[in-house]
Amino acid sequence: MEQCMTLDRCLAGTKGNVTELTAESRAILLKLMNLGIIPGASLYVVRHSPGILVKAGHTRIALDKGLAAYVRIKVTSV
Amino acid sequence: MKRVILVGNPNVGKSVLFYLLTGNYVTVSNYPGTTVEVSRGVANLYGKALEIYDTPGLYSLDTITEEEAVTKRLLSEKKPDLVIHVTDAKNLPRMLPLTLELQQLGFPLLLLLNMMDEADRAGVRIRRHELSSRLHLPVLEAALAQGRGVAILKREISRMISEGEKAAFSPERKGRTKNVAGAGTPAAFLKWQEAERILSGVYFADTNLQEEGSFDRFTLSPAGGMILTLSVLYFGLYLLVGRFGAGILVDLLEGTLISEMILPILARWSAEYAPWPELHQLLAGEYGIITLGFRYAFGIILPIMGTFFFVFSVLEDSGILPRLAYLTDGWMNRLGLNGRAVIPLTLGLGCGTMAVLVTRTLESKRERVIASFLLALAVPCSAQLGLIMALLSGRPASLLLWAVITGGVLILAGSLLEILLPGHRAPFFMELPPLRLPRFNAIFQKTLARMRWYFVEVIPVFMLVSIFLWLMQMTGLMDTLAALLAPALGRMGLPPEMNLVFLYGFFRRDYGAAGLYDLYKAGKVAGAQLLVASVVLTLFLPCLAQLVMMVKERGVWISLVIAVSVIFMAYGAGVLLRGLLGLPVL
Repeated sequence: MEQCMTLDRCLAGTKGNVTELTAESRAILLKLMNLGIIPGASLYVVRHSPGILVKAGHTRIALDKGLAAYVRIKVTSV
Repeated sequence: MKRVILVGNPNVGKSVLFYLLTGNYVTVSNYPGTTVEVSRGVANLYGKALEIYDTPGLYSLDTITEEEAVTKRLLSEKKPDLVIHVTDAKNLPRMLPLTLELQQLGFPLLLLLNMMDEADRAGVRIRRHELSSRLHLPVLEAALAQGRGVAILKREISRMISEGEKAAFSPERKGRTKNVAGAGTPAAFLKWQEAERILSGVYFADTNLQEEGSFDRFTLSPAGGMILTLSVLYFGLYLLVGRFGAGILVDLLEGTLISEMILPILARWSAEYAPWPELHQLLAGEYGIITLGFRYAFGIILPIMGTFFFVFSVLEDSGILPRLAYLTDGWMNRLGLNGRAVIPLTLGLGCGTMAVLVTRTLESKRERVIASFLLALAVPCSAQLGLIMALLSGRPASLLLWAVITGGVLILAGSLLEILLPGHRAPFFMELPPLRLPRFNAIFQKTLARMRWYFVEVIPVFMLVSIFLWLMQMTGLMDTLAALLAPALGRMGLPPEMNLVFLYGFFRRDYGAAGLYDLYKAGKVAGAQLLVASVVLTLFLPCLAQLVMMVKERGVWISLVIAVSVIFMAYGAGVLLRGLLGLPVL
């Protein structure tokens, strides 16, 4: 099952690859990229609440839903 | 003197390296961005003195935050003889783009793969020599916190410094990366791609994203987080700071050592040798520098702040603070803040003055104003907390009501500010480091460094306040002010004797609570009055030191608005509470 969605809507346990960062602000784009959230990166959603918690590479990153909504991923497994 | 600048992401061990090189400890912790200011120290390597700079953590030279700008400016102003890029080895793909950026600046550069122990455990392997030849840079491995790789690093620093120019990168590389130099998204992305190319066949990681321990995961769930927060509050703040620091240690230091043994001697000397009675008053009178300032600084502040800083350092180094930030982000959102604000607000439970200073780490001016407001209004400092708990300990219902009311005012004020102030909160993002067992040495050094800071910054303010109070007493201004306050107190159902408590409370917030304690002992306030008094004192203006810090950080006008609003809110809450409790107007 392959589908694309924004990161804020992914449930815990979702794995996927970043396809696109849709933020228009350069500051937010750089912020996400500096955290290792770049197109092609594989992510694992550790928690969905109280905030989004993803694992990118060997780092766990907490994001609020607003930031997570800028990240589009292709889900590889749920 | 030759200069070395340490650069790297937050939380990769720059400060540990700084400490290892200079022997001068600065804050080192899991919380990204604690080293707001640049630290400078002198290292002695094989008989050569080097000037070492530790910079705030940064992700990229495409500056977004103030801290990144500071590092960038430092690099261009100081013209370092060597830049050391400290990285977390297991996360190298994320850090290498910065290495490439640093390389473009043209200073001799050394890439340090730190935290190799964690990388090993995570199954990351790096072909260091291949990486070094691809980058044309010296690349070293280390686990600084464990002391691994330190000797080799020192030797390499010394070699690079003495060889100078030769260590600089070859010009052909400069040409290759030039097209990446421009700012903007595509450039940043190109750097990522280049980093990826360089690392292919050099950096290997287990592809399955491994999980942390189950306890670690548990602390991130709402239930686990709740337990974590409550244990921090109970064991850390209540038992250690409240009972041990503010109770046992204060009794020992202030009660026995200072009041009974040291003060009488000093007072006798002052009475004997002070040429005028006014001078004796200034030194050893009721509000004297020795009686109030000295006793206060060493008898009360030292033990309370000491234990508090100790607890806070443990929270930082264990990685608990970032967890609290993550867990509270949703709540903070309602107050117009984001999870990051948990740090200054928690710090405010220790010392509001320091907490106001730390609001600098918040991203937007709006958040800094909201946090300063809440700190001034509804976050009691450790000394005050201790005394209020002592006052209300016999009546659990009152204590609970006090907590509910204070918390309610905090939420109400935050929500109002969120609506009233223009703009939105800054987006929240934070790295969550794994839970680590803090190292005692680091905790100890850090507590010591904070105590040193505290004494340098805050103790002079106490001394000034002593002099100020002495002046007010000498000129009779104190009595005039006190008389003005009495009617307002009556409307809150409080006796006129409380006026001095409020006046002192302004000079030292905790001292106000101490005055209240004296009144309680004397039977002047009782029952429900005690609750009203505790609530109003908690909400009332912060101490003079915190106000001064607020003016310094937020400016005169914002501080004035905050101060006036706080006075009215405290008064309003007092009047309302009196009515609700059915107390008579006095």
